[in-house]
Amino acid sequence: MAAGGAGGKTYSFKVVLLGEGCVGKTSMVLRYCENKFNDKHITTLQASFLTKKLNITGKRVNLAIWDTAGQERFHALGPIYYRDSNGAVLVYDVTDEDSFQKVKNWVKELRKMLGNDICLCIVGNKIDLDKDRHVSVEDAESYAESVGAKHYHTSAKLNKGIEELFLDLCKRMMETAQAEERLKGNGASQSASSRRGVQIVDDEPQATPAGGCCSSG
Amino acid sequence: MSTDKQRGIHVSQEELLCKNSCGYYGNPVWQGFCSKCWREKARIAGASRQDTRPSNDGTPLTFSKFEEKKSTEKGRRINTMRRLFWGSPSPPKLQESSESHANVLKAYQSLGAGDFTGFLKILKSPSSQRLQSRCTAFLNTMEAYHDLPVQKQSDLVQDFYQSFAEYFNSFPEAQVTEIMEHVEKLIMTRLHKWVFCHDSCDDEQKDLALQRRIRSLNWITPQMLSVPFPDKKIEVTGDPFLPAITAIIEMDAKRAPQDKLACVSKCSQHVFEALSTSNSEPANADDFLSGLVYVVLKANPPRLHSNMQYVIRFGLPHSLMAGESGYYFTNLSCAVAFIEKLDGPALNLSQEEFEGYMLRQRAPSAGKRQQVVSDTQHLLEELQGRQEKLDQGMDSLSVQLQSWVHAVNSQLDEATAQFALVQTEVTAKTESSQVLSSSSHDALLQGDDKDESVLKLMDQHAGPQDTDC
Ligand SMILES: Nc1nc2c(ncn2[C@@H]2O[C@H](COP(=O)(O)OP(=O)(O)OP(=O)(O)O)[C@@H](O)[C@H]2O)c(=O)[nH]1
Ligand SMILES: [Mg+2]
Ligand SMILES: [Zn+2]
Repeated sequence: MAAGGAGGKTYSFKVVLLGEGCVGKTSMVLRYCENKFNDKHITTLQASFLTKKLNITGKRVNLAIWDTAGQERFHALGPIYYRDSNGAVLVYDVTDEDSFQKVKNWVKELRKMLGNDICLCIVGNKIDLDKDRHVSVEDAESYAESVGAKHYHTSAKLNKGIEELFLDLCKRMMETAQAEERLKGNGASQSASSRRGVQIVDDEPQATPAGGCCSSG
Repeated sequence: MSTDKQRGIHVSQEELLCKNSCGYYGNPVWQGFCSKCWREKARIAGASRQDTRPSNDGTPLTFSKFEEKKSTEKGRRINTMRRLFWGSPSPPKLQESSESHANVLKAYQSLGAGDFTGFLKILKSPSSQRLQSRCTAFLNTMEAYHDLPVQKQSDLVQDFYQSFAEYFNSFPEAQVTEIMEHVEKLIMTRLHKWVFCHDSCDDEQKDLALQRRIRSLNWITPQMLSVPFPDKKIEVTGDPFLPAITAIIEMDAKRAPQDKLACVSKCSQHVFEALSTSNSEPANADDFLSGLVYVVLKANPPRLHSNMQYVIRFGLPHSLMAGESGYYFTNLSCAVAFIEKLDGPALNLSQEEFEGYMLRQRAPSAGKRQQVVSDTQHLLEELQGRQEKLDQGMDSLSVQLQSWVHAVNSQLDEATAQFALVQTEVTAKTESSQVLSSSSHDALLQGDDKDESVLKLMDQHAGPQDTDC
């Protein structure tokens, strides 16, 4: 029964979606997961938790996309949402300078709370409205680079750039996960230990009855 | 199962509260008392015993010293248990023949999704004896050391999950997950009464604080929370969030962490459904969280803090990491955090307005109480009115029924009479045509016979079943 899991391993990633109201977060995930945009026939009750299954270079990936409450009154709750997340998609509207400022605030907070373990994507949405652009491409891209994030341009309306964005993000999260596995050594199962922190094992010598009450176990 | 279901909705507040009526929640582990009253009771009982007990050095141990000693003892015990159950970091050594081992694995692998009974059957089968005795030994040990600090207990349970899962590490992940859900259910259904809202932590006080906080905020309207809400029509259709409220209250009645989580998920689904009644677009995270905050405020779910801590401590880690139930649980954590911190601006109120509401809320005999009383009275009156109407309706119905029976009977009488008449006429005719020379005496006799048979017929018709003959 040697670990037959080499090819059978499934990656599960949690990605949080951050950004000001109306920049197009919901439109983007609905486009990505259900290929719909402003559709009157959208039957999903909710667009706040969506999943997508991918197969990347033979590895299965389960992607869970978490929409987060972005209204000001909920601002302090951010850390509860993005705890344990592998990636963050920070969306702004290219026609709205303010929404780009908001993204900068999120980046600061995420880096402070999660360090470099989290893969950041900064996304300028609504590029179909390029004539009304208020955030310059150079500014956005150089900012992203300065904070170790990747920058993407998308249009949920025209279905541009979204597939690429999530695929790229998944690849980066896989790399991070693999690097982490190498660090930890391949033995331990990840989920339990990572959730519960380092297990301190007390090695104080202890007279343990050989057999004990549960020799059957 | 069925009792759980019942308890979810029908349990009255009094049944949950401490038997000492101190206002805290009681717990079956403490025989229905809260931990404080239970400790009080135990101390009084213990004091009389302690008096007669000789102490080693003449001076009784102070309580804190006693506790200290106990906790170091516990520490040692944990070590011992570690060694006994999972001393070796590698997967369990296999003592059985590899053949029977393979057979057990095959049995577990063939298990249908969600088939807990099937799982128990396999676990109890002789070939699975090793796993079964591990479970039993673990449960017995946990029960014996149920006064360990709750964090230690959580560690032990999580370690147990991990080492148990290693037994199945040749299985695909989804299948291991399913098996582990059964294991969680088995383990935690047994341990619930020992580790839920444990004596060693302040869960109980936090429950009480949260409960008070929610009660003090009962003036908050859906509008203040910007919850999409159908306007005005509440009286007609009822609160659309009611199913969600019921679901979150049910959480306390479940014992396995996964079942508690399932209540949170069910509640969330109902929130989305409620939101969709006043929103044509799919709900976004802001709508959802607002809705959930409203539901928590309305429900004031029993022992909410304890329930959430219990899920975090003793639930399977994967379900809280990235799955859908994890998303809902996280939002519930957000809702609670929001409620705890909530101030005026968060509700679009000025700080003065907010404080005004809170003050009015606190004033003991203020209009609010009167309002509730008169509301209740009004409801009762309405109910009484309905009851009277119902009684009247019943009366008139039975009157109608009676008169209908009468009508049917008299119709029957009439019909039989007519039938008899026709019959005599017919016989008379045939007789007159066939037996030309019959005496008048004979005819009279025959006529009497006919009358008797008609009477018999009438008797038969009185019974309702025979009407079709
Ligand atoms: N032209 C254009 N409009 C878009 C695009 N993406 C979204 N929109 C529009 O922008 C508006 C807001 O989109 P949402 O997807 O609801 O934005 P959101 O970020 O989810 O907003 P909140 O849920 O309120 O935080 C909608 O009217 C969309 O039709 C895009 O790529 N191009
Ligand atoms: Mg949205
Ligand atoms: Zn009490």
